[in-house]
Amino acid sequence: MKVAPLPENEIDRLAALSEAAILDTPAETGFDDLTKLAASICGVPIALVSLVDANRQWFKSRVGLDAEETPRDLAFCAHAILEESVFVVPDAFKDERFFDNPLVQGAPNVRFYAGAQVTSHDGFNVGTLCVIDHEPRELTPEQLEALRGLARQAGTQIDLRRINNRLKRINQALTLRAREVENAWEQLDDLLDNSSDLIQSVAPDGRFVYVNRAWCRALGYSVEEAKSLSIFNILAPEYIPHCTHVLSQLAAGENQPSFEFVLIDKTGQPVHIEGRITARLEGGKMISTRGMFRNVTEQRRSEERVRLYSDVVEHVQIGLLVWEGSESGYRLTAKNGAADRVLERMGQLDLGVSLDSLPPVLEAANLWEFIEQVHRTHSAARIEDVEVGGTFISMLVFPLPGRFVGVALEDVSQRKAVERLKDEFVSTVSHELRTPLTSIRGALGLMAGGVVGSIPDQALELLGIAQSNTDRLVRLINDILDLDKIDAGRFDIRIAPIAVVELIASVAEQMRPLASEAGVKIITKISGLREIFADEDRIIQVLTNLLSNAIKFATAETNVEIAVSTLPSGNVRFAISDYGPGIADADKSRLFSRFQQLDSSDRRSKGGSGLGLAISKAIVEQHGGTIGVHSDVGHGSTFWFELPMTESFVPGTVPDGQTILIVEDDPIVARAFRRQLEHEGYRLRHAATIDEAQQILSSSETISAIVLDMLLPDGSGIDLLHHMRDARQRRAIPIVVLSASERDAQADDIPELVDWLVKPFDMSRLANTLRWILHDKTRPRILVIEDDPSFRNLLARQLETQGAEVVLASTGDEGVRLARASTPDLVVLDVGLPRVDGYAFVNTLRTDRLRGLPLIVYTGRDLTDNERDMLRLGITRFLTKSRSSEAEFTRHVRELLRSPPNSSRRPPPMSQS
Amino acid sequence: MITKVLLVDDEPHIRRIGELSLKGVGKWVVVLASNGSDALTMADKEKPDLILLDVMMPGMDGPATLQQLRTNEATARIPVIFMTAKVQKHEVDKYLAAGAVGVIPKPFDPMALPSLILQILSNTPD
Repeated sequence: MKVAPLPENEIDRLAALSEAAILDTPAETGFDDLTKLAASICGVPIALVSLVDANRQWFKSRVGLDAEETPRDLAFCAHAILEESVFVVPDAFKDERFFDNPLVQGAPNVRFYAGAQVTSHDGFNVGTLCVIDHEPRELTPEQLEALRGLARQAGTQIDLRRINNRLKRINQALTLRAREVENAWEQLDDLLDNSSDLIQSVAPDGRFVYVNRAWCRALGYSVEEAKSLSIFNILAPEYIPHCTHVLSQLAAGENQPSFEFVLIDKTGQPVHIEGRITARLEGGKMISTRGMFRNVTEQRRSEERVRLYSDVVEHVQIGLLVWEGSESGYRLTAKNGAADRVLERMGQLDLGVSLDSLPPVLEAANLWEFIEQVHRTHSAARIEDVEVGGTFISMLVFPLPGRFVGVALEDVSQRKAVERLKDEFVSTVSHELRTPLTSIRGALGLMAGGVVGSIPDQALELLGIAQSNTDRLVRLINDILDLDKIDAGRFDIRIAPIAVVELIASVAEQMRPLASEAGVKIITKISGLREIFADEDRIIQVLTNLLSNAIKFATAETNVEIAVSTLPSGNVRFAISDYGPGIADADKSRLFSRFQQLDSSDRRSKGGSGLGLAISKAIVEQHGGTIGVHSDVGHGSTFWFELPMTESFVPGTVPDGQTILIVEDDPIVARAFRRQLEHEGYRLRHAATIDEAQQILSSSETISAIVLDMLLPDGSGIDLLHHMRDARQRRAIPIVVLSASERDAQADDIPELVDWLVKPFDMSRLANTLRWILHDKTRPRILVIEDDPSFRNLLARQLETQGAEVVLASTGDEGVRLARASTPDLVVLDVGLPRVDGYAFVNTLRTDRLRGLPLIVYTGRDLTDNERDMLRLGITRFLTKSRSSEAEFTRHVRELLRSPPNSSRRPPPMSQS
Repeated sequence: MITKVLLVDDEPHIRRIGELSLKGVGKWVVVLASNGSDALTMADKEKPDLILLDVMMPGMDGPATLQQLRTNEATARIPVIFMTAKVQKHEVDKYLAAGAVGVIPKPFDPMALPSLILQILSNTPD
């Protein structure tokens, strides 16, 4: 058997067949008619439309045959498609190509075969229309002609299918394409619409054809509204000429550069936009313009603001300097005209100058230090009234973003001069009023006193009236002087220890005549308190005022009560109660205002100035306290004020390397302790449980103090205390207890327990307590910083006689060094010192662990309140050389060195904030 | 023990009132001066036991007068009390610092003036 070779064009032939998509489709009459006709014309039992696929022949139509397909290797048709004309095998038995073919030897027993090629319109033989007989035979020329014709018909049908399929594919591709285009448009639309740029398209007559969302947002119009508008409706009038010009240039085919113009939004506000307009031309004619713009309104506004600010900055009367910090220090990067004017007489300050070369006035104010501090802390600092050559300057050093620090400078010389004039004026007026009053008061007093002879009773009564009104006038003058000082912010208080019992006794004594005159008894109640820190004269003034009010308003034959007590907060409360008519709620609020006498029409006019309570309020507030009143109408009033517990001083620092055991289970709290206490110079051991604490305590390590949490995982802190007592093997270790609750009664039995802190507590109080405990108190160490050698030695002798160890420094920088090295208990400081002066000394120490150090400022100068503030460290006393006696000096030293109270009941003093 | 007081004030009414008070209530001998330099002369001549010295006077004021009194051996140890209508605290402190034993604010109660003086002197260590 000979297998037919593949035609040369096999690949394209198969493609053509495949394109027809005819294989394995159901039978069709179109093809069946052809095979029936062929069988009948040729007089044969079998006729087929056979399509030759890659591995088989498949019969689209068949007559007289059951098989739907046969393998290509066996197919007669595989031979037939290689030929140009009808392929005829008259007798397969006699043909060497076929005699052994299974289709010949067995079913369907092919003896005769004639196949006419089914050819596609493009010339591929996709199969045959063939006739088969079981006998050998020949076909007549007519029969052959008919077979060829029928095969052509089959080819045409297949071609129709191919063309049809091709059209379908093209159609599909077109639909797909259309969808892609649609998507692309949508995306583009979306892109335009969501662009942050303003996009518009405008017709030649100016109407808007398209605007995007950003455009609508910027101008406040909806798309529909925009489409009813013309660009010329919303263009700011001053831009119409330019825009018209641009449009005409575009119409002429000239490209135009980007430009800026202003549109007016729906609310009438200008919108600054910047960008390019391009023209769309068709056949030399402009059909629309397209514009893409940025909204630069904000930018223009902020530029305008910047211009405005710099103009303002240039025109203000306050000098402004901006310093820029860098690795190499600070340099001046900006200043305004006023800065030059303020500093005019004190040396110029050029841009780029560093802090090392400041004019003397800024040098004197320690500006560099303030700048560094402000930069570090990010909070503003004020430097008041720095004087150089009669000019006073006040400065505000304020943080700016990043590495910048600003300084505002103000020449306050004029204000200072006015203040001085006013002081003189007030002082003079008061003097001028007092002088005649002295004569009047004196004359009345002498007459009433009978010094110039006896006076009739009625005249005596009148003299009394004149006298009491003279007194009232004098009080009024005094009060006005006080208020003047309060207003000027120069209401100075001098804090010193005051014995409470003596204070109250003397006030009560002073008021007793007035009380007995009113038929009122003064009683006093003082609980527990020994000493307060306040300005004695001023507190007497307040107490006298409140007490005289109480006496005046008390009902006869009742008591007026003065009570002093300590509150749980540590504040000291003074309360003055009377059983008078009381005060209506509505009146309470204005009680402490000036010139308020609630009952001025009352016939029992009380003869006060109406300023007493206002002054009392100012005094109390100056002490950091509060004042108020409780009153029930018909039952009397209680005027009260509270003074904050003023701390005594905290002695120096701790010898290095003392170990503190912290027993605390909360790791966060323990970590906070560690940070704070290590900063103070202690070594720390930490135990989270009682068990761990006991292990540490029974080791050979020396523990100087224990900070003990009361609530621990394996028991109460009290348990540890008892264990320690039982163990007895150790010396008593001082203990500070931390607890969520108030002091336990059990704690009183434990002498080692030096302080009981209730959570949450101030960390600095813990630190202070520890300092108290661990400080070596055998001999106080005092650092004297004084540049005058004879005065320095005098002070040293005085202090040594008192038993102190004295360290001497003659300059401020030496003072700083020695303060840090010797950790003194007290510093005696002169203000005017070479190199580093007293202010700088204090300022330096304020930033480190010596900030609570008690200080005596001993200077020849009179210091203003502000200067005093700049010289405060811990508790600070101010003494003036010419005025303070030796005894006064040693008294202050002793007070500042006073040991802490022995009783563990009293909380240890805290450092002054 | 006081027997003689020098009262110095430029204001004649106040001199008169003071004189009546010191004489009538205090039963002391009173000598008067109306300005600083007269005061120096009087003090030197009369050797009073106490000088009441007005602060604000034309020419030599109270503190200047006090300073001059201290330079004269004969008057250096006479206690001086200032009388002043300037009663603000810093002013009072200033006068005390100048070396006065006390300050009496004006106006004063003429009936109480002698006892006030005695009180000031009794508080002053000799």
